Amino acid sequence: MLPDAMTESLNRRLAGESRRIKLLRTLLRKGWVHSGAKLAIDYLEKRDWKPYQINAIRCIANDFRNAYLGKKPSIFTSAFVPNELVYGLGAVPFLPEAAAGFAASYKLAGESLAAGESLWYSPDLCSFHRAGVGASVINLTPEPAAVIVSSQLCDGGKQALFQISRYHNCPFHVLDVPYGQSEQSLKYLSKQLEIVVKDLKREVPDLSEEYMDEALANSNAALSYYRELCELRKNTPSPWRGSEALNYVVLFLWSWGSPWLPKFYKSLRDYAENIISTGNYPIPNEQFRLAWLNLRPYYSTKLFDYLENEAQISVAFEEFSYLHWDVLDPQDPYTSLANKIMSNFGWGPARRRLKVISKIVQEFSIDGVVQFAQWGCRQHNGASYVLSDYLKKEGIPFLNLDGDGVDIKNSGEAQSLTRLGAFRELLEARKIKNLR
Amino acid sequence: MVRLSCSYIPYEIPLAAGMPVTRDLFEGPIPEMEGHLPQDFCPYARAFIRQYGNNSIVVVAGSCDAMRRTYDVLDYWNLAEAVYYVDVPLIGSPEAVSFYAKELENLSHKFLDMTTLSKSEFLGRLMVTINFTNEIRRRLSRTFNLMFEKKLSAAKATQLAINISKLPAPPYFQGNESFIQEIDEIINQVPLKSPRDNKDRPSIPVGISGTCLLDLSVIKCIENAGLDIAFIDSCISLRAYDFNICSENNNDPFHVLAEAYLNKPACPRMFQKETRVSRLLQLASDYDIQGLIYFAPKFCDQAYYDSVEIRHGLKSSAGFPMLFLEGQYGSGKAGQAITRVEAFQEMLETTYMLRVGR
Repeated sequence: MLPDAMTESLNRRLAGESRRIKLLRTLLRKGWVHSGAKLAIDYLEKRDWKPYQINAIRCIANDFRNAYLGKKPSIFTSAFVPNELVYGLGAVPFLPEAAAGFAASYKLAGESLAAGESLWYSPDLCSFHRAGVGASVINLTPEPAAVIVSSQLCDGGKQALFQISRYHNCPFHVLDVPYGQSEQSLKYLSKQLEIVVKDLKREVPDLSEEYMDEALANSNAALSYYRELCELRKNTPSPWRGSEALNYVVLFLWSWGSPWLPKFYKSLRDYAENIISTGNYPIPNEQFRLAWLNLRPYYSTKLFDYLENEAQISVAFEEFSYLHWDVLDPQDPYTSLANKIMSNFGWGPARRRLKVISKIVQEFSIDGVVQFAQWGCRQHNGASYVLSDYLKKEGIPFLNLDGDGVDIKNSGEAQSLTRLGAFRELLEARKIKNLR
Repeated sequence: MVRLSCSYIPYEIPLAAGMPVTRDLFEGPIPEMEGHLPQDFCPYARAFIRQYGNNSIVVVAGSCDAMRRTYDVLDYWNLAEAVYYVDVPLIGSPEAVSFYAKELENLSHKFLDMTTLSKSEFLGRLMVTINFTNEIRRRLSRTFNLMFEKKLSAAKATQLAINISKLPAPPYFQGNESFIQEIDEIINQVPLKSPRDNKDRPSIPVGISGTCLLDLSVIKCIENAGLDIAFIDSCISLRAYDFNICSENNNDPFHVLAEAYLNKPACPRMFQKETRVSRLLQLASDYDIQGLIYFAPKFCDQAYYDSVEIRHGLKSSAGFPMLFLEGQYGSGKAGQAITRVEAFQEMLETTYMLRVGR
């Protein structure tokens, strides 16, 4: 009854159905376009693009090719579902909220947001989710074979994907992640993972667990390189631009279990090692080091130009890149993956997150913390006063920077630049005070 | 006093531990406490932030992002003697019921630690308390039936429900019967009106749905516009009382409670596939409504998403129009809301007139 109701609502002209969207969605489903993209990536490799950049593009392009051409079932997941599960079943993951970031960077978010709003999604909702739903209803995304969400970190992510499953009339599964840490919680979650896999194998043709060992091995290999990379990022000056790191958060959310992720992190580790050994730092006169909480604007913005080039301030580490889990055990994949999900410090009382932010501040020699207050993000913004008070007591400057990662109409860039400028002055004043 | 944030937290547990309990409903945020949560945040969560003092235990359910952050604020700034978090599952599967039963047992241990009761004494009391709260729920359901029979306005019925949820229920066996009598008296004292019979204006029944209604202003606004409210699907009315806990075939009271609460009429936060729309369609058919008014507290993500699904579901399955209203406390008094509700009433009236050929 209901799926029909939702799909029927699409039987009218939606906002956002522009010519270029129609063209793009046609092209995305053509084999020759993906073959052409492959050649283009080979060309970029020869044109001195960095190996980690090439591996990252190949990682995502591979999934896109499989998903858009229907070579493998595309399973839509919310940002913190362990995608080892999806790769392990022989499918490919697709994260609409992460794809919304891509859309913003290619100036395609406007159409996706308009489509969402024409279906009554409030502009007060997080634009990552609104754009994700919008992109799915104008078929800019591949066709989902199924949807899996986890209750972490926010309500918007799971609700948006629930709606996507309605529009596309496909199976929907929710991983109800317990808020507290206990044996009982772990059992509850691992049992759910087991049930989801069992149900998906029944609901989606061509899925089987035969790839699970390989997906877990890929994830563990990537984890080992990623750990080394995190150690290298503690170096002062920072070996990698934070603005770029925030772009690559998409892989951190998307690709665990992909055969391309170990290659990406290995090449990135090699790159960081090389930068440190040659002293060829991206911000050589690094004045201050920031920890960046939440995401960033993915459309073209002057914020990072100002920080990195003008003010010589590094974003030394990002909250969403913090490694919170241990090696996965192929003998017990469900418990392992349940442990991975539950170790996410963003889920659970705010005190848990505060501890990790403190650790980031210590380990990465942070001078100040910036939280990008994404419009509509109740999960992070609701904790901003607690966070601000906590960091104040710890003596760490904090800036809550309002903005919108996808919807450029909400950007207020000039105001953000003024606030970043004031924050820089505060950091400088503290430095002078400490020198006296 | 134990203060509960959500209709998914069983009253029965603190009651059986011998503690008075109340569901906290407020008239709006306290201005001097506004610095704890952002302004663009759920008004119910903002209203929940207050200095409760040393005699209050606050129990917050993980209903949504806003209430999880509310828990953080209360806990971080020690705004009550104790602040407990209850992890309410999003689904009603057997595994979720077992998990929630354990969660409720853990909550009861926290209360038990404050008393001299043994566990077996507590469990015995819990079974009796379940019967006691069933009685209260029955009475509240009756109140809403009076509303359907048009003997009581929706505003009065809801006010009654709010008054009763605010009454600090007495602890176990300290006047349970007199408490029920007190409720009966409150209900009996409400003057009932005769069913409206106005031949000049047709009676147009509508339903109200949403997450939390916040206050009575929206209900009053709808009634003042001349619409008859047939049902109110909200956590301060139907969804809180329209269920019964059956304890006969199970010896584990926590399991009984978990099962009943997780499977009560679903809040938009629950992921129970088409249950929400099916239930609203059933209510629409039972009460023969002509339209639905959906109220969302401003910045309530659960309501924003749920309303879209309800809108499409009702329209395609039954052709019902839906009016979406959002706002803060007192938003039913705003001119904009009044105009929109009046326009909705006119639209429904015109449709009705055309249908009956008048």
